[in-house]
Amino acid sequence: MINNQAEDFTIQSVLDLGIRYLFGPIQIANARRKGKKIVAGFLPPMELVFAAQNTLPLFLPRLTEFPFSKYIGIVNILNQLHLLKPLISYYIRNQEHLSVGYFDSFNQNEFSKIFTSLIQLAEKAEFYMDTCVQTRICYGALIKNSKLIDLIVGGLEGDYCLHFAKFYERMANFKPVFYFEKPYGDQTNSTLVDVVTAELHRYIAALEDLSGSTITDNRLRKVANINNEIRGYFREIYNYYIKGYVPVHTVTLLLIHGCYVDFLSDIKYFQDTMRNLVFEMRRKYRKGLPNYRKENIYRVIIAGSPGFDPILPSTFENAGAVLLYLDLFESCMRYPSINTTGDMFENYANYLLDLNIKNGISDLIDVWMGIAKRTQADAILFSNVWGCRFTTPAYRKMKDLVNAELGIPIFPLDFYSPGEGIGQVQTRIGAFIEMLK
Amino acid sequence: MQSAIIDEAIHNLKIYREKGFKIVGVVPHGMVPEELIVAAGAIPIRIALGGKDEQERGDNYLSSTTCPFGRATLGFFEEQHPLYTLVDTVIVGTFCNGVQNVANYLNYFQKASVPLILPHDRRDSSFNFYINELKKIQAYLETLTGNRCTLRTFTGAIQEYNHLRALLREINDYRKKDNPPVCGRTIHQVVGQALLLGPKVMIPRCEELLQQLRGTPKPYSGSRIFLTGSGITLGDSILEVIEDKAGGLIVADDLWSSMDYFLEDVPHFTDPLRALAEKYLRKSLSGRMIPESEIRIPKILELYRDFRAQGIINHTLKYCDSYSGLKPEFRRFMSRQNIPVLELDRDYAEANIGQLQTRIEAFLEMIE
Repeated sequence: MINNQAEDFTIQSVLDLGIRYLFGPIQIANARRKGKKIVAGFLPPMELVFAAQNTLPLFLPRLTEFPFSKYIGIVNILNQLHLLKPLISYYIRNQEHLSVGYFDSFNQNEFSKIFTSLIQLAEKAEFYMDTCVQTRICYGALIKNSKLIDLIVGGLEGDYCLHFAKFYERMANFKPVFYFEKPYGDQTNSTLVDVVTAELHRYIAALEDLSGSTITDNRLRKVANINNEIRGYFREIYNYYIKGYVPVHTVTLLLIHGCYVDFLSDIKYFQDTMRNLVFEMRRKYRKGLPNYRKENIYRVIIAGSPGFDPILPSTFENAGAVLLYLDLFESCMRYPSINTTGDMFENYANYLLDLNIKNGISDLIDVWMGIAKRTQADAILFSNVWGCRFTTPAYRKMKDLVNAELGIPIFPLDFYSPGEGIGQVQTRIGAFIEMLK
Repeated sequence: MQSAIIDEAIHNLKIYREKGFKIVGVVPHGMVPEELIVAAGAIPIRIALGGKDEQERGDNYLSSTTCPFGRATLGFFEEQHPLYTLVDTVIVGTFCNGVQNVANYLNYFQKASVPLILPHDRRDSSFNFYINELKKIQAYLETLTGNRCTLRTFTGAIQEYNHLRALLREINDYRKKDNPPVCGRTIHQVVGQALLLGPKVMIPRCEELLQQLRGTPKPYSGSRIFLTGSGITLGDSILEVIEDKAGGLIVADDLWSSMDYFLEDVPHFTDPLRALAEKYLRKSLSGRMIPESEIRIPKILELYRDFRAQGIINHTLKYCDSYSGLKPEFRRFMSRQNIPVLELDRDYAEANIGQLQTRIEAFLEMIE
């Protein structure tokens, strides 16, 4: 049996992460009232922003307000009083006989509607629509929330995707943008080391200017220590998957990815919650994680573009499989922690170089192949996010490699916008899982 | 005319190969110094063919939202086009995703390649990074050819290309006239030949053309258009549509397939790679560089005025990220300068040519 996604919210720390994620609009409004500066970004990691005082990183789509967001204040209070978890457990046990406004409104269709409304905002602002859903959503989120932002940070992804680079150039029409140049390569290229070091100093200076505070070696070290600890938790979670268990639902994996972009604008909170999550997983693991044994559950990893319809995980469950989105976890496994002794500028530059792309899409194909091998996946879903120029053209290459090295099925699935062609998607996935059986 | 250029290139390259020269294909539009390839004793040819059938063949490798150029390039390799089969190795890199995607599949056609990693800005650290990339390419080419690049070979190559560029500028300047003896197609054809045949063939040919232009050749007329956006590949019919069918006259542009090729010379140098980087990185008009307001947009305005254009056609190949993402900003900026802009977005499929022609005709009527 595979758990329903709602059951993950009986894990206290998943509940905490989810509520804090939805709490974004209130959290940022409070921060603005207190005079904090907001730095928007779209891809991880943005933790360096925490090294500046009175400055917060923000993943803009986290400001999205859902219909259930209006209850978030009371839900938060219930959670702090430790009443929410038992309520959810009760709801799950009796959901066939209950109709509860909050839970009823918490469904994937609402996600689709909200994200579609952001895409429509982008379209109205003449955004370049022949592009991936992620940038369409992020641009809509920028249009909606630009008043809240003091600085936009980007560029690291612009090196592999020219559209992303131009996306940031366009954003500079609204707000100051810091574009971090980081061409492909590694530490063996001394001129690349110079570029990254120069860019890091420029970035730190921009943050110092914005915050009016000095970013010291000690502050960088403190942030690095926390980041290392968090990435350590990711490795531990990933190990459960490698051992053949599925400790949390894919929606929770998505939530963790989303939280990692800006560390929920509160690095300490994110650190504590991830620590708690791992403690809870250890407890569950010791008890045998009865509902998550590998037997009879087809494990399908997702490769390709980082984005898919929110309805996809439950579609897989209904078909008798589990979809695993583990890119971030694999990257934590592959790349070393930040060195926290000595010169922290140099250490951060080295860390950025460790994370850097060396050989274009081949690096990502290595990551996906690594996940498939480590988790002994039964199949691979290749997400063709329409308009993604970096990942979708790699399908043929990935398919040839999977056929040659793994001998498991690989299944391409197109995705343009949330909520589109759901019936057809469900039919195709059902047929695919039947074929696996 | 274009197939004649390609046939001539194939003929020439076969002779070079028989003589033992290595042929180096160049994919990144306008940001790889061909002088470097010549200095290493190899023969450069620009990967610059486009075609509808090959674009469809390319769909076997790349997704449909990859630029038509990238897809067509793989299509030409797959069908073993005689020009591309002659290539020994290909310079690829991070110009854009289309170029990166071509690189990802070249080994399917047993073609070796080397990436030129390009920064997006022109800051000093990026400039030095680019020079280092040129060093990497130089070492690769030296291994390929067994020749050393020396100050003498660099000087020879750079002088030859600067000479060709000076001649091309002289030809191009005729477009400033009221009824010029050259049009957009003329310049594209001459640059197209240069991309495939190189300066040795093209210098005498350009001198001959200049002789003809000093006489009284037939003048061209039409609404004066500045053309910007994606480069025009050999085999693409859009210029015929604008000039022959719709009655426009392209008087200037900023395309890698035309004026960006020859507007800037490589400066005098003591360090040849640094001098090449000055032209090919710092002075590049390419829309993939950031921000466009630094070099590209001011240059467009300067050329627009110098060549007395009456409107701009902003032509993009579908999914060409260098030019598509900021089209509304470009249009609004030009509107503030009272410059009308027509946006065209297309691929190599010819089904919508009639519709394009109608839109261009309407635009030309409007700016007259």
